[in-house]
Amino acid sequence: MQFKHEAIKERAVMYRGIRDFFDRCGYLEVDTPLLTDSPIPESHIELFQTRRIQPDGTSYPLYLIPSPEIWLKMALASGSSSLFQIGRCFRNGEQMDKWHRNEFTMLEWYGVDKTAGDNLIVMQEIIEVAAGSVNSEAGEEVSGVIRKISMEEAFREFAGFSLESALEESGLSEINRASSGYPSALAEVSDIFRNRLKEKKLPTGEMEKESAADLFHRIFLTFVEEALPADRPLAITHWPAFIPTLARNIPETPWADRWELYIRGVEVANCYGEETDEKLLKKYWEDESPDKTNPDFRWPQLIAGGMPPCSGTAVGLDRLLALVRGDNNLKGLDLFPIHDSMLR
Amino acid sequence: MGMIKAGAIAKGTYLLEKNEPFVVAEREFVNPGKGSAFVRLKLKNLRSAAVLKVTHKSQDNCEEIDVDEVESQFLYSDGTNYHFMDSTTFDQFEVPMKAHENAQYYMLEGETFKLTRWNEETLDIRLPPKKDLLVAEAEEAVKGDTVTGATKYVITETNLKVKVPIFIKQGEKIRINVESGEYQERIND
Repeated sequence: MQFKHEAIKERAVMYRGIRDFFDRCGYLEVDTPLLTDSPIPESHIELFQTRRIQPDGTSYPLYLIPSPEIWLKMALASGSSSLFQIGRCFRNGEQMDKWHRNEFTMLEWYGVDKTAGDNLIVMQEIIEVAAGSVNSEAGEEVSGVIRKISMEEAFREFAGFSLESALEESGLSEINRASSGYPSALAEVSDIFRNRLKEKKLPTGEMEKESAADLFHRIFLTFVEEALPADRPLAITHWPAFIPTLARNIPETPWADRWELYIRGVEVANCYGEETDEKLLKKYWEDESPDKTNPDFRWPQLIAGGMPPCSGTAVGLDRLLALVRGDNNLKGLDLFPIHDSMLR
Repeated sequence: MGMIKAGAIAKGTYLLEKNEPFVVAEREFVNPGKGSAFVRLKLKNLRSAAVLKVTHKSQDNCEEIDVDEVESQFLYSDGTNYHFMDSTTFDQFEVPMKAHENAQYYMLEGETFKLTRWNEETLDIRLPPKKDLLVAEAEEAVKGDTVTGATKYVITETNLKVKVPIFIKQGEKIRINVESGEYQERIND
């Protein structure tokens, strides 16, 4: 059993600093359940499933939360002010490597009447709090001023083509997810992406059957992500709205109000200006639910029923701690993790 | 030839990409913000030694090469090719040096190595992690130079130039880390 004693203390100082910061800003700390009978549907996240056994011996499935998102949104919809939570999350099926664990600690906060842009300013403060919690001196690449780059700028620079033009050409800039022409516009943008990949002589794999989001990620991961400058923290803003998320569309544009933060090339946080439109929320539940014919519409109804305009950010605190410490992996940063012996 | 899911590929897996044989040098999993899991691979071309970076979805099918391992004796190199003899069949064959340049510093004539072969083509020469080599050329230590940690360069019997502590003499045997090419210790037989 190996852990770094200093890191355990630094983690405690970091949590205290984050709590103090949000307390000063008037955010309410909440503590929501880790077990749920109806998790937020995300088709790309595998869940840990357990069973609730009733006194009569019958049972039904319960799940460990992949994030507290659904609870925090429910709290907002029922009238809460801005709030935050520091808690454990669980994701199954993840490869255990230097930056991935099945169980990890997430900071998630929601600012009422805030946009994703506002939350980037809060993120800078959180990085400062984290950097001030450790004994080592964090360099510019970790605690410098966050550089903002839009997905369009990143594509032009590193993938060699305009994403915006592709979205315009396919008609995706004009319509939203709930429109009837949406599937054919998606098919069109997929063709454009496929052609770009073929031009670059990439192994095409199963590309013919792939979704527009998968093709987009192929291009992003192959040409863009690795080429991003890492001399300062970097936020990629304005993601294409066709990637299914709960981020709202920026009106009159093909972009979602969303950013992802990278520090030293490692993804640390993501943020949405939150979707509150009931029709679009239901569409998301329908598309992402494991059982597409029978989505659980309780949540989208409750959320849309009262959620104020707001922006939410999720930060992987284990990664943030490692990065401000200057570590190159998550080893030794927490007590008794089940995975250390499995790290490769 | 078999198919392998990209998610199951490990360091050292042999793959066919664009009809060229590769060995996986590095593998990293990436989960983009909201999307399927991907695998990023750094591949070494086993014909040209060129490096290729590819990104696959974990569910992609890749072509894995079914290789044979053949014990073979290293005979000599002619500057362009290594000449080997299969220890079982006594067949002689050549391996282009271009793709395995590093091997020349760790193979002595007459020694036996495991070779990875595919369709009559040698893809890889399995070198040991450590190799003991004789020092062929070494400068004399300068008298009075007793600074701790002082180093100098020597040339081994295989023509490898390596940085060693000042006390190493010509004719002595030293242990080299084959992957890094660095001196590890003096061997007293």
